[in-house]
Amino acid sequence: MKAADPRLRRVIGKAVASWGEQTARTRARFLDFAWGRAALRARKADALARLPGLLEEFERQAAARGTRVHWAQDAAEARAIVLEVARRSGARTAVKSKSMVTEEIGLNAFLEEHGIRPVETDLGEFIVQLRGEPPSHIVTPAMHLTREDIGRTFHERLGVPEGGSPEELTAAARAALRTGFRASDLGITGANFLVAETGMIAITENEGNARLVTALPRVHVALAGIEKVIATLDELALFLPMLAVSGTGQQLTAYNTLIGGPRAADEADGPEECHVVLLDNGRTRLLADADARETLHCIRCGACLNACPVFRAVGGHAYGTTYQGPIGSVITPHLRASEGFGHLPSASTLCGACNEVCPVGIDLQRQLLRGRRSRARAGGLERLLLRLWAFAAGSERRWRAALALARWLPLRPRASRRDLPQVAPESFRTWWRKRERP
Amino acid sequence: MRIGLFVPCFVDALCPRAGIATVRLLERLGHEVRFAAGAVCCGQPAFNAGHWDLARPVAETCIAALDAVEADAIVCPSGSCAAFLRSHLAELLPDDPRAAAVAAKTFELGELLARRLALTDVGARFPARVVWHDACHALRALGLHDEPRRLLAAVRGLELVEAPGGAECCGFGGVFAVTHADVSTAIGEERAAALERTGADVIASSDPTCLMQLAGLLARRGWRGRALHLAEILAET
Amino acid sequence: MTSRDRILARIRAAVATPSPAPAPPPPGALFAPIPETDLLARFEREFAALRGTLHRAAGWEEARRLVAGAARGRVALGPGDEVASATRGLALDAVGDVADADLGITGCDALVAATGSIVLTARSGGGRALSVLPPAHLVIARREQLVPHLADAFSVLRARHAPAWPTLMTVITGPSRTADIEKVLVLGAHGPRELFLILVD
Repeated sequence: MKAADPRLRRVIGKAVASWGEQTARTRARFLDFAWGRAALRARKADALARLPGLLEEFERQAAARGTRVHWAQDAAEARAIVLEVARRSGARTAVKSKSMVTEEIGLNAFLEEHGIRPVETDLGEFIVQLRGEPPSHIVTPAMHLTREDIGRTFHERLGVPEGGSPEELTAAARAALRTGFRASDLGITGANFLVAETGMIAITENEGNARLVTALPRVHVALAGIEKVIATLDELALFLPMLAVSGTGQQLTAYNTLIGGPRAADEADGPEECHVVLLDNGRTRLLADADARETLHCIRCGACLNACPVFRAVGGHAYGTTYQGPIGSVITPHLRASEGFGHLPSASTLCGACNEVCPVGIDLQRQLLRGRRSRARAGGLERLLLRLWAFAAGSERRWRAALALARWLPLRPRASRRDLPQVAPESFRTWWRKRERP
Repeated sequence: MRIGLFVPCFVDALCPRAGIATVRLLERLGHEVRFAAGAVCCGQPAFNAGHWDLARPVAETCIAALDAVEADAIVCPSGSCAAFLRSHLAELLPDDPRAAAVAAKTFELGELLARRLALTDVGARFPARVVWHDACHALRALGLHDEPRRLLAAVRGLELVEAPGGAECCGFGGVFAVTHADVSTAIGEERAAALERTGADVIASSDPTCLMQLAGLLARRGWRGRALHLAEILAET
Repeated sequence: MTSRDRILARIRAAVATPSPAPAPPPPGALFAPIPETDLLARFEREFAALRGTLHRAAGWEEARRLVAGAARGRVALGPGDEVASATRGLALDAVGDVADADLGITGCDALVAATGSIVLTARSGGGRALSVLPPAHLVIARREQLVPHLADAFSVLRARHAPAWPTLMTVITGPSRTADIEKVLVLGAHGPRELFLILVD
């Protein structure tokens, strides 16, 4: 993993600083964040312990109101389910609100291959879709771009005059997407929470595009990881503010919406069909590891990404994964086991900032350490160096010899951007010995 | 009081002045310092990298020496090593009763002074503009934030300034600085710049590794100040 | 075995190994309690900070005057007594298709003081699109609908609707917004750019 270029780092730095200020301000104002974190940690742990029963209850309640619940073991099954629903709906396009799960399963490319055009409606997702890039952050997908970058893209792809302000660019996106909501037969969303008690999905957003995606098209499909289920509606009073303050520094986002099925007979509008796809795709692997299970508490707020000095230095794309930052580094090696992501937990200084900001109390620092342990390779340069180190540090005598050797060897390692420390002419031990025996 | 002294590997080799200043300070305060020479390294580098089997013998050597020192408390001029001994030793050596005993009486220097000895004014004089850099483990694992600031505020002639934006990692991260040198440098450069912007002559911290990381980067920026360990400032009169 | 069976079997096998259950914290709250006397002031502050526009009406006659003043262009009207009372006798350019409206007027189920939120459903909101598709949204609410916290609003919804829940329930906290471009706050991303509330005593 390499550091991003200074320009990108500046852009990321500004975005993160803004988040930091907002979040700190809101946290300080009314929320007893520490209490909230402890409460959510307990709720999530309980929900996972009761997961089979809660998922079955969710299915029962949702089905009672006309929602069709599907279960997908992996990405391929999930894609096939969505395609089947799309085909039966006759849709040529699908309007989408932001869903990291659909990124995870590669849904957009798959739909396009099968003749259905997915249209991202979340502004950040819309922007990266126009640019043909993946999102660089699970909450703010376009945080790596300046208004000039976005303006250039809108100019090239939408014919919008260059040099637009954020207001003008947002208005251009609104106009471009407006007709799409009504014209599309299929709406695809994620879900921030699955409420078992009432069989509803909960969607947290600011723009209103998810509300439109679930209001206008004739068919609605929502995809969610199995770990998203919570027991009761009332718990949302705790989850929603904690998600908002951690994700964007708001007390609540502009729209927190509960969808409980296709339109009812006494309702003015809404989809005729409502589907929910419950996705495993490696989550049961995480669940089976009792020690790593807490990583399934994640509510995808993105706070750990913003707090992480490594994320800020390399940017989201550098991870090459759907989920970036500390949470991405600890779950990806499990979700995508044997795909070569085992190095991710090592891309951390273990500073612990992630732990401080996580609203559901995941001990991310500990999970990063665990991740390294299970991947410590038997061979490799790192192990060799550490073997030498352990040998030298294993006894005082060997240590003194190692220092003497280091002073004697003409090793003068040079780094291009910093002065490296040199072995001191006299070690502390030597100073002490001289003092004791002058 | 008899105070045991654990001088970790990199302090011994690269930054002995932190250890020397610690001895001078504690002796000036009237304590007897007992250096645990047999304690070379707490084992953190190998532990953090995931190679627990390599860390174990090193940690065992360390706690054997620390446990053998007859002292009322053990001081370490490194927040990350003190934090490691307190948080992870029991996990690494679950069957070793010495681990808990050592953990219970090991303190980082600022902790020892402010919490264990309940001191604020140690009689130091150090006229300079100083910015305190919170080392991550000292801050988050030991909860060390106010204590070093109170100790520095009581130093005669010292002007304490804060870096805006609060605590940020220096980017060192142990083995990370070698395996991810590019990223480590990028993180460090940002922190170094923030500290430089305070106009301080001196950057102080509880952790020599942070100081070396930051000093190395600042040297390239032509910074003329000094990066000093807390002990080096408090030892001055 | 279906995928459902397989997934549930894997989950059951996984959770058969328990992890230590974290102790829930002692009783507490996320938000500080709000004294009854402060509820309205708190709501007004929050709503204003969100860039919502609040008008207070001493009765339905004043409410009608305020609606007449706020209404612009073509108006889509939601159901309910509040909307009816607040628009009776007014010469509004009412449209049937929400997509043609410049302004949507709805009632609501509750107002949340702590966060300045408006809670409505497909029933009180006249469907799913009426409160989000037109570029402006006007809500008619009664003073008694103001509750302190989000949890209280959920209690109101539960008492009113359970078990026959509406298929849409939403908590609206300010106009539509985005900060996806350089973290600059822009109102009116896809939902209404303007949010008006007439609060009738």
